Amino acid sequence: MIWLVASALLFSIGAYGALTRRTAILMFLSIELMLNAAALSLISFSKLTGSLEAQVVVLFIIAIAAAEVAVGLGLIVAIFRRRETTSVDELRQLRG
Amino acid sequence: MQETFLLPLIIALPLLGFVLLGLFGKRIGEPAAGWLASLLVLGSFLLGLVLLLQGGGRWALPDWLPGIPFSLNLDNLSGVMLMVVTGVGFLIHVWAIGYMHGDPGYSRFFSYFNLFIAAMLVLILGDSLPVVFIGWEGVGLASYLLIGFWYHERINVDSARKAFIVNRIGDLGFLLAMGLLWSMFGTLSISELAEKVEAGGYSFTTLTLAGFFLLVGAMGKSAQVPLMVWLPDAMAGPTPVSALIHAATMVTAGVYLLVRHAFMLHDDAYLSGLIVFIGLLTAFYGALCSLGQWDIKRIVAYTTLSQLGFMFVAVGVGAYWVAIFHIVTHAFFKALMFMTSGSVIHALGGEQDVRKMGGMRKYLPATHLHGLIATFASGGLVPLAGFWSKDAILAYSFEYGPWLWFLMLLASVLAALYSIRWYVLVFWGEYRGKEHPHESPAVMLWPNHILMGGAIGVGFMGLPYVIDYKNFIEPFLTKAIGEFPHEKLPVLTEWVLILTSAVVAIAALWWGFRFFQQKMPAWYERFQAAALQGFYADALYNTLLVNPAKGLAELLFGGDKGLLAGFAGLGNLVGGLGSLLARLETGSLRFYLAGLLVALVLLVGWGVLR
Amino acid sequence: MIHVGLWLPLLAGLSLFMLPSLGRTFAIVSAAVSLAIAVALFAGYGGQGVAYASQTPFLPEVGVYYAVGLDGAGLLLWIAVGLVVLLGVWIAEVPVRFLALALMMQTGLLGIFAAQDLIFFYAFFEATLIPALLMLWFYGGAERLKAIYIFALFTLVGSLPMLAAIFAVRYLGGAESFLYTDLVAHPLTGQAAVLAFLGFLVALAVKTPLFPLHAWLPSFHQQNHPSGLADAMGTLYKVGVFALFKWAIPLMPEGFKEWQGLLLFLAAFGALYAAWLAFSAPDWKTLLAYAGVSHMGVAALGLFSGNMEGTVGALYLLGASMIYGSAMFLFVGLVYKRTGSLDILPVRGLARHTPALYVLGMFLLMAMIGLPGLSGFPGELMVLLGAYKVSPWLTFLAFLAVIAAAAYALTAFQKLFQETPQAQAVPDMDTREWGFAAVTVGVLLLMGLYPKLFTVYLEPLGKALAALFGGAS
Repeated sequence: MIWLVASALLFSIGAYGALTRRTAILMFLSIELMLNAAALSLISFSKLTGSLEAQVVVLFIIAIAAAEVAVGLGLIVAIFRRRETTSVDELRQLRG
Repeated sequence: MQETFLLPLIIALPLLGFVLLGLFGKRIGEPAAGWLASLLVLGSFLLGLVLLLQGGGRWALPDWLPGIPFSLNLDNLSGVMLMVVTGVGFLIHVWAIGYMHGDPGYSRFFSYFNLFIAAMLVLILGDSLPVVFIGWEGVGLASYLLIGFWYHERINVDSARKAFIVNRIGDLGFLLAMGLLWSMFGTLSISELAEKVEAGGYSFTTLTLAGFFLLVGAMGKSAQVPLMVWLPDAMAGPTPVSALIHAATMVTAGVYLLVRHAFMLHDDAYLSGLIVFIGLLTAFYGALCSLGQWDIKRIVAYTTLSQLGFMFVAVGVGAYWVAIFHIVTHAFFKALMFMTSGSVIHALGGEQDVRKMGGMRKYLPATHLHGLIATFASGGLVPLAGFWSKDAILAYSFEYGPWLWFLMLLASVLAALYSIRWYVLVFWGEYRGKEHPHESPAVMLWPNHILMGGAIGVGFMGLPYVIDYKNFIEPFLTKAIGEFPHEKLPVLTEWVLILTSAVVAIAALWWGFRFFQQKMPAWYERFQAAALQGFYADALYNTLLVNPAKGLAELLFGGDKGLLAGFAGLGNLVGGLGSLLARLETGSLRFYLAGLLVALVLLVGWGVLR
Repeated sequence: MIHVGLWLPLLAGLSLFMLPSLGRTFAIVSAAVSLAIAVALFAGYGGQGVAYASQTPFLPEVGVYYAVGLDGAGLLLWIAVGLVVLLGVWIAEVPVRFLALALMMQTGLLGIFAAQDLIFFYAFFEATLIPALLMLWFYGGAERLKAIYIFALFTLVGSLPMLAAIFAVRYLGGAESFLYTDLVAHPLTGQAAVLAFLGFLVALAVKTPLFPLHAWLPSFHQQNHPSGLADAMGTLYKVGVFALFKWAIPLMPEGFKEWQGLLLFLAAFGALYAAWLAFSAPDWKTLLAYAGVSHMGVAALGLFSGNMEGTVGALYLLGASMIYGSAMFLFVGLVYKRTGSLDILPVRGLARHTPALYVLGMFLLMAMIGLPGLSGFPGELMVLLGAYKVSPWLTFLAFLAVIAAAAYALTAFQKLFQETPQAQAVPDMDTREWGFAAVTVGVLLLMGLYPKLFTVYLEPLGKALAALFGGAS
């Protein structure tokens, strides 16, 4: 039970971070935090209900998070090389 | 009465003339085109006479439209009208051979003239109301084509257009009558309607409404007030047109329609009272306006208007056979009056202003005799035709109410006055113009001779009962119109009435003869100025109806463009909505993220609350 | 044979489009053959129900069949379409590819009237739009783009609710397929019927055209080629009354009843409104556009009365107005050929030079304003008789249009043909135009004087429709 609270806390911290950080790396970090918070809450649920599917999903999350970090960091580095900044406020070309 | 193919043949003959002269008229040429047209009309006359003597005839094509046959019916009533239309029509055709001589549209004229006769015959012979309506609008078409015959002049075309449009107002009444009668009785055949109405069991007010609609139609065609404005302008057409269509035949179609539906009218005091009122109004209006005109044809046109009013009064007081009798006598003397006027116009090389006429009795002796007889018949001098039919109207009016008789007597005085005024201004005194008048050719004189004979003698078929001579026409017509019980006036009253109208007519003619020879007094000049303008009826209609209608058309036209702009605006609205939504595409990552999180919270919240 | 009649124009049109060297004669022959087929089918009609019916499964899993057949109304309209196309390709002064487009459009029109499957009906209904748009695009006037936008958007946006309603009718009604026979056996009821009818109504009101969704029509006609051929085809495309009669009302009678009062009013008002403002039309195309709206208003009034007389009148008037409306557009094209203008002012006084054209114009004009004896009258009379039973006041309102019609028609005609001639000498009708005149006048007289020829087949259809509402007749 307490783990659920912990994961909620973690999620909010991650959300706060994602919304307020300007640099891409820190935003990325916050998103990772949110992801892990979700994994944590899944594990807690698994422990509560005794279901195993949740644990499988967590494995998926970990794997996907790793892949996603790789690609994402690669993108950030490429952007930095191009634009010399990682401030998300300045990356607005997809504006409608 | 048997089924006979000859009945549609009566209509087919002049129709054939219309087609042949229309397609090949130029090749047929003068004067053969005129004679062909005239002989075809004569053929219809003879055929009709033969059938009538055999007791009539019918012809029908069932289910021409679902539930509506195409049926024709020749009985005594339509027979009398047929005789008038084809008989007088034939005479006017022959007269026109001379009058239209030299006109470049000679064959076209006779083609249209035949079309008119064909349409009029359909109107008269139709037993099924839609068939009557074919003839009804058909004569309207022929009238339009003939009034605007010389279509290069704008005034002629405008007059033709006016006639057609005003007639259409009446036609709407006719249409609504058909709609109402169909929904009430499920049939539009006049003979079946008569049976059903006599059988009873229908709503009285609804029947009155149907009769009212028919009255509106009749008012349009017979130029009753307030739909009379087209008739004076119709004089733009050639004189034979005025004689045939706008005096003897088409304008009487309204009266005929009402008489045909006598079974609807005779029990209806309100409707009949309305008819009397309208007839009175028209009788006086026409007479007063005629007294102020300077154009010879307009003088006669207004007199026609007045006499049509007399016919309507006859219908209103229940004297149906008398109305038809008056149609017959009027056809003779009015056609005669028009054709005499035409002869004078022809003699003076086209002059139509009576101020430039006068003294014609010296130059045109034969035409003068025609004019004299026409005047006396129109003025109601005993024992000419015009006297007997008018007197019958007066007698029935007296029964309706002595006040009506008095008013009608007054109208008769005016009739005498306008007749004698016409005569004096055209034939008496000294010639005030500069032309060299020459008498008409024989082809124009002979029809007038015959009409003159009719104007003198035709009245004798309808003498009042107090004179010991058989009244042929009353029983003949009543057989077809319907037997409506009628109390005869006491002998003494009848004689008093006859003598009064005879004396009054003579006195009025004499007084008018003296009066119109002198210079007009000031009060007359003032009156005459207003009468010349038809007491400003046209101006009134223009201001109240025509111009607002045109203005509304402009307004609606602009409005419709606005409607389209409105739809375009709807499109713009969608576009606007789109650009509003596009503002969400900020390109800012944090904004998108924030949106995602808000949505997440809402979704979870909704899931939890459910 | 019905299949040949249906698809021949499309094939001929395609061939002609790709090989324009085949020339106008090819188009005339194709149109003549189509008309002959239509007449032959009419002559062979037994008198009851849907004849020449055939159906083949097209998408059987969804219940779509290629099903065609013709009843009395369909045959009348097939003949009308065939006649107009023949007259059009014969007389219009246009490039050969234009004629090809007209032929292709003919198949679409014939399909609308012959379709016995709702999806195929919709397909033909929409497909007919394409040649019309192409004619407007390739051969239209200076502001044709705007006209195309308006025309296409009105039609397409209107048709989408109908598509939704089509599916509703089948699936909510519980029919096994989209065949007419199946659908009619499962009419919709209740709220579903009301909404589904509205869906059909939006599309069909654009196509009638019914006030206020008629706003696309003036610009459509104004921008079309002055020969009048595209306008004639457009006049044939006014299938709203037919579609309402055949599909919308029988499939959702309860829905129709809900909307009937409003529809009667719109029809009557539109008839008078359009006739009134036609008086101000500055050119002939606009005048004829509004005249068309007026006539269709009268026809719609008859159909919406829901009784035998009104339905017979509506269908007859539809057929008649297709013919005289199209003929009038082609006639105006003949005038344009001589004067180079379609404006009503200045006064031209053409009759001095072209008396035969003048007479032809008179016939057409008189048919248009419903002169008895010509083709416009029997339909109008039956509409009057039917509509009066349902609403005397609206009948009065609508038929005031007869006065307005006389006003606009005669005024415009007077300026064009009568009064003092200003025009230089122009040629009168040549042989080809005499042929056009003869055929047109003949048909006007035939339909006006002998309506029994067609009404005898329309009467049972009218009675069937009336029976949906309790058999009031």
